[in-house]
Amino acid sequence: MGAALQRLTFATFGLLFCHSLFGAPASTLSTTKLTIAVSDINGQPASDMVVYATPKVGLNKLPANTQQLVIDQKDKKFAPYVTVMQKGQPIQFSNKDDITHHIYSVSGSNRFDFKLQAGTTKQTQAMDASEEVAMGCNIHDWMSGYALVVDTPFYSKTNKEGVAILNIAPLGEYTVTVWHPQLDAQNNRVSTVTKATQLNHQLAIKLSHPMLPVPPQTGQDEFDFIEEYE
Amino acid sequence: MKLLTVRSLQSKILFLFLFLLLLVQLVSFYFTYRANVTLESTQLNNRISNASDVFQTQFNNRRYYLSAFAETAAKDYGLKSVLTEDNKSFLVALNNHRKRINSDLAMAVDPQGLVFAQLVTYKTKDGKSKVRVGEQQGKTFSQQNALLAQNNAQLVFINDRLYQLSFAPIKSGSRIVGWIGFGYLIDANLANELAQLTDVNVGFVVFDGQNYSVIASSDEQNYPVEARVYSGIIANTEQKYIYNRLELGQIGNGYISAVLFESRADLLKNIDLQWPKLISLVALTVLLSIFGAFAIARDITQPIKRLISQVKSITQGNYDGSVNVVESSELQQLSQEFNHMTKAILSREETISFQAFHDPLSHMPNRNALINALEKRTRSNSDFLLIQLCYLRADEITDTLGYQAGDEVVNQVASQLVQTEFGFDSYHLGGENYVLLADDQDADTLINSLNAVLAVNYLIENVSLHLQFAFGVVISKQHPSSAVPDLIKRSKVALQRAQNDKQIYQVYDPAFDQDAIERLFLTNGLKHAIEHDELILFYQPKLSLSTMKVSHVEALVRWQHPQKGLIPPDAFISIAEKTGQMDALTRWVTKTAIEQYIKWLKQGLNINIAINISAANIMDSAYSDFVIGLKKQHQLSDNAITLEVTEDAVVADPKQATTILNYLRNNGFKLSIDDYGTGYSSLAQLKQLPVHELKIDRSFVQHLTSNESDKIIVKSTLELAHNMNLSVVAEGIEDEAALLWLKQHDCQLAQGYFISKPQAAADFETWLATSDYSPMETSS
Repeated sequence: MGAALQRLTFATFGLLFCHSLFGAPASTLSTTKLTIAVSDINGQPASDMVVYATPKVGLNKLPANTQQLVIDQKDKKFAPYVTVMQKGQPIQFSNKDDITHHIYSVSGSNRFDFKLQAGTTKQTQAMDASEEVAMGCNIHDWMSGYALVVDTPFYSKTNKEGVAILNIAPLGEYTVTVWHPQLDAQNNRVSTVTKATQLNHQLAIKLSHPMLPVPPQTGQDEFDFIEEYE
Repeated sequence: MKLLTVRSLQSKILFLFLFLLLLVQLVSFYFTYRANVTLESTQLNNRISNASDVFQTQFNNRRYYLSAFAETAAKDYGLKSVLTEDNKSFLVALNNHRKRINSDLAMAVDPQGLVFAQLVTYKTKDGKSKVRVGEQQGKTFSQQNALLAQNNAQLVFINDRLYQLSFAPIKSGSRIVGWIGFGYLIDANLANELAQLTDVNVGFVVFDGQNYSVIASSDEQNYPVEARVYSGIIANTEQKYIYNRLELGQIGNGYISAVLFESRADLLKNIDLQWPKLISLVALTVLLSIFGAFAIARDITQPIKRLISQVKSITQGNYDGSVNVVESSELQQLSQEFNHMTKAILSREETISFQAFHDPLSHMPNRNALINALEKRTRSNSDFLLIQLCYLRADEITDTLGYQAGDEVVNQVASQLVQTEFGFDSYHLGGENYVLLADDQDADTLINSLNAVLAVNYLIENVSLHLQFAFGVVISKQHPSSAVPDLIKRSKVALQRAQNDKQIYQVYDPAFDQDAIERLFLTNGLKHAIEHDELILFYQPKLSLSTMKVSHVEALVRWQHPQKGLIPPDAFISIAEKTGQMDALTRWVTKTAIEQYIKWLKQGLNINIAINISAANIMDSAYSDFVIGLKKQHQLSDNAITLEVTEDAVVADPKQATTILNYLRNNGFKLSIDDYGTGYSSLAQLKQLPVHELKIDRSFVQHLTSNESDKIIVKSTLELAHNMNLSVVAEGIEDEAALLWLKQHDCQLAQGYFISKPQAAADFETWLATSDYSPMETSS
């Protein structure tokens, strides 16, 4: 694992280009659009990757992102599979299925478990530890979902083109981290430091670690009888 | 050694059967044994093979069972929920799961490889199973990389105990938050359990690349874990075991194997169980076969034994029995041939017996039959007459008419004998000799009657023969307790005596035997006598009737025997003739006489000496050459020696006699026919003979003065001789009247006792000196 870490490289040519184009960085509170393009080990766009930026300084002064995280249980799957949220927020589970689920997370500090009947919604306590929350369903072993709890309010997931846009403020030096539960790196993440000195700051990250296969959330296709209950 | 020299057919058959039988038994036993061994081996191999399958299935099942259970336990939310609770809660929850499958080991490892929970079972001293926290708890799990990545049960040593251990990940969703594992001990209990299932011995061994060590064995009593048997089995050097090794898994550089094995000794033990049955079966078969073989052998040899007993009975002369064997066609044929042979033997024996006791020519009983009959007669002490007879001149008949005619005569006489009815038994001794055995009676009467019957004319090849017979009689009562051969011999002696004496018959007298002994004595001594001058010549003078002086002498041989004294010629001349010594005798006489002639000649006494020569001497020229040689040697003048030949000698072969006599005459010998008148010489023959003189036989001269017919014969003989220009000598002159009568009738020479008896030379000389007849006086 350690050796794999060293293979991480940073593609910061975009940042250097902006720097020479726009001259000295702005030191105001104005919002900066940080565009991060993530490509996998083969250079293809890596989608559904969690990307978050942590300022080198002044993290505690930043306002909390209170955006409500909702994870659906639909078709006996966690949807979305991978989410990200800021520490101190609860997660809301919404059972869109017609069967009962028993949602749990047993790892780390942010543990919870509860049954969620068909069509109901339930919210966890606030996640207090910035760490991965690995979720499962005690009734359906194949169901699997991850929520990453981060300290910073600047986070997003890459789209199909592997691009994520973070609106960060103030300008400054940020640690940009890419995370995915199947990214075969330490703690499933790679980080890079970037200086955001202008309004549009673009960052390209090429992952030098392979992606492990995402476990498919299927397992009871053989059960014909389920349809009879619909 | 006795067995090796078995001669009896029955035993041979018996032994052959037994030998073949035992051979077959051995072969079949060998193959049965081999088949048993192969079968057992195959069965054992099958058992090992089946056991291996069962073992593999069992072991795989356990493996699957362990991994399935670990999987299930890992997904148990109760366990998950206490994963990060206090350690005690987790351990209790873990033990709860362990107890569900009664595993010997339960443990949990966190993602960093730390063993945060480990439970192991152990046995208390009283045999109870208890659980305690394992020694690895709180430590890093050393084998994690190798083990945790596998979701199947693996073999692993934990604190020197071997476990079959299976881990399953504990997940939070799809995130692995730890591992939970359950394991079973691989120990003697397991080995026993599997041994019970598979019905073969089970052992677990580990090979570290160099050495084998045994972890557990199902039967530690017979195969303790330290036993070399395992290394032997694994190294494939142990031939006493059938085994199969199953590799269970790799450990470090080595591997762990299960060994399923069964001792071949156990296999043999199973086969051994059949030994008594097999042996008793073999023994029973052998016993039955012995009886069978004995019966067959007896069946085969029984008829042979019957044949043997038949042979024995034939050997003993019993031909009555016959043997019939129906057991087999060959033996039946043999027995029939045997019976035929018996009959043939019987027939031949009868023939032989007949031939033994009958004459082959006349078919009359022969000498053997005679001996039997005589023995019978002597045993019964009955008196009888033993008469041996023969007809005379048998040789002449054969010589003249041939053997066939001779045989015909024999047969006719035989049938004549058989046809006579005088109540005697007749036997044929061969040739002209017959023997009659009659009850005691007057021999003279019997023989006269018999002779009248026999002495008839026999018609042989159109020639009528008149046979004369001679008889020798032995009267048994004169010879008490005499042996049978003696009796026969005596009858022969009597017969010979009769022949010699020219009588019809002669009754045996013991004196005859004395003569016979004497003859034998002389026969043996004659040769010696001739060679050693025991013979001497006597000389009888012949008076020349014209001068009344002695002019001739006849030399007569005498035997001056050292013990017996003087023996007359009659006693040994015939012996010399029969023993072929006649030539030697004549030559001696000739030589001696010529020496005497020369001696006398030197004394001035010229006397012609007459020598008697035999028929044999004129049958070839050897004697003639001898005497002519002597004459030449001594330069004798012609007519110095007279050779007297009997009339008989000339009659036998007149032509040859004439040739030889001519030869002698031409060489200056005077020849004289001796015994003239007794033979059968014809005048024609006489005319041919080149002789000078006739010597009238004494039988005509002895009684000349008293017998007129003798006078007529002598007178006519004289006239005949003179007419044929032959001189005449008369011998046997015993009185003066005869001498004068002869002188008167111009007989030339006279010889006889009246003149002088024969005397030795010296006596003769003395006699002559004083005699009126001496020629010396005249000359002097």
